Amino acid sequence: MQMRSDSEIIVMIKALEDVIIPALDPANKLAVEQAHLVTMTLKVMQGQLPMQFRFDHDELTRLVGAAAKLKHVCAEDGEAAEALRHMNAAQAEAQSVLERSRVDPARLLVSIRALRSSISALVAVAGRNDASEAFSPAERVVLDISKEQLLRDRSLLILTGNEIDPAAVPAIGDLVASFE
Amino acid sequence: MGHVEFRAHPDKDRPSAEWITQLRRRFVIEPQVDRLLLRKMELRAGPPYQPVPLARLTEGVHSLLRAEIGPDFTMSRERWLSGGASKLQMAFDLEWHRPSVGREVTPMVLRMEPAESIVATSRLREFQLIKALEGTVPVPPTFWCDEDGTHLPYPALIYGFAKGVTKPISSKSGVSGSNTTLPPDVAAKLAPQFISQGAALHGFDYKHSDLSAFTAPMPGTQCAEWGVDWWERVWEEDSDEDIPLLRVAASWLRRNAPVLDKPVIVHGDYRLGNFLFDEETTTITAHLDWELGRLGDRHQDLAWTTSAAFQTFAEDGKTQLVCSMLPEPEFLEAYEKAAGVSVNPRTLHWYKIYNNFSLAILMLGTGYRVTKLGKTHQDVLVHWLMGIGHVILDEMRDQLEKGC
Repeated sequence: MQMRSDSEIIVMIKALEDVIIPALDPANKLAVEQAHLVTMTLKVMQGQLPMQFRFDHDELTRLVGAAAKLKHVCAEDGEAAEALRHMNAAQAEAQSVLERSRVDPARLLVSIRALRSSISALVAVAGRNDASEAFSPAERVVLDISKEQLLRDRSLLILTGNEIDPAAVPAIGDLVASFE
Repeated sequence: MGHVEFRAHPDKDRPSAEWITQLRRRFVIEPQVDRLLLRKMELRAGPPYQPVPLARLTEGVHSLLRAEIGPDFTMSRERWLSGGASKLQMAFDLEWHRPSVGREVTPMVLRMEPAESIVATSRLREFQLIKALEGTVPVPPTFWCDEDGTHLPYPALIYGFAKGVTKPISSKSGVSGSNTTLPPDVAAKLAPQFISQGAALHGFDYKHSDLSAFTAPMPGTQCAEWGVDWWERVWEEDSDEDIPLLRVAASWLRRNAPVLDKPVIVHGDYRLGNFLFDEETTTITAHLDWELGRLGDRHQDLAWTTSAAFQTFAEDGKTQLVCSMLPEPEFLEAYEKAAGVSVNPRTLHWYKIYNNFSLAILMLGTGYRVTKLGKTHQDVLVHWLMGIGHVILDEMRDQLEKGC
């Protein structure tokens, strides 16, 4: 998937700064102020998005540590006992989540790109050495995986309005496997 | 013939001279196309597109006109034109002494490249094609070309403003003119003109025209091979993440390259949205956007025109219409009759795959690169077009599955 949030934000900022804001009526203070705020918000998102996972992971790690310390310093009686039970359950769940999310999503993307590249190289070689009009077994594998992947790509971008029959494309939530 | 090589990824944002040379050796293409891709890569590391005020364009046009016709002219009513995804356009009026006409005010259009476009093409090629076809098919009168950006910030050409609309004022269409639906009465009047003018284009004897910026392919499969190498080279130059399906398509296209029977002028983007017509008389007034033109195979245009991307449904909600005009079999039959040549279904199918191959490369490869580097005047539009890339790829996959 080449059309991603990072590049989408870049082109939106450029359109705002180069074309839209210069064309606004300076007398329309509300529009000018909000256009600048939209630009600044996009720039905040631009810095925030690549760090969001690490930021959340870091916070959860420290919260789990804090919960461990609280267990030792809070008395287990009265109203506190009930609250402590809830916190312990939440800490156990958080610990489990941390253990299952050790890989940064950015690393996932690096692997996708590396594998796309090496599969492309391999199938190009296989195609070059094949003289038949039809497809080699390696090319057949690529055709099959492409059919599955392109359906997901199209579903994810359904709001771009490029489908002749949008209703025929399944929802992305039904196509992409859940982690749980 | 190009092929994938196993090595570290090159820096495509700042390409080295060595890597550019390697690409030129690997992909054998029409010499003039090679030169324009070379120019693109040599300028790649340069600055992004800087917004150009109308005053700067006016100054550049003044400089060009002084060099071409001397100081006796006046420009007025300079204004931006929208439309299209690749080039900037400014309309203006020129009061001048027009050869063979006399003193007049001619409405003009300046068409200029941005720093790097969704498709790297040559203004000189566009200029020569339009000039050559004056009197054969409706084209705007074309006047001057600033081939290397000597006068203007980037290469540009100036042609006469052609009157007309690309679609009925009341109709709707998608970004860049796709999915336009014509009312049946309008379609019935436009279809015969559109088809006969396509036939006239392909029947035009170009050998006596100044087409020095073109090379005709040799008999055989060179035309097809040049085409596949052209776009795979662009993919190597521009793409970010690779797409294995494009590699399968490239191999299949090479293995099944059709033999060219007769080289003709190919428009390269012959479709509804790329011609103007007078809404009152429903007469086509000018075919536009010749930048992808080449000397090649008529089936390339036919495959493009009949592409699913430019089809709409008839009023029955079932029948698909080529450019919102006719069902494909009727369209092709009418073309054969008008052109006096046959349509080879295998070659047509090959070019449908080839066209989608090139389109996917432009949308997903070049579209990514030029917007990442801020090279155009409308990155947000070029980026938006990436969303069509996967639909086109899936159609190409389906076409590959169908084979020859």
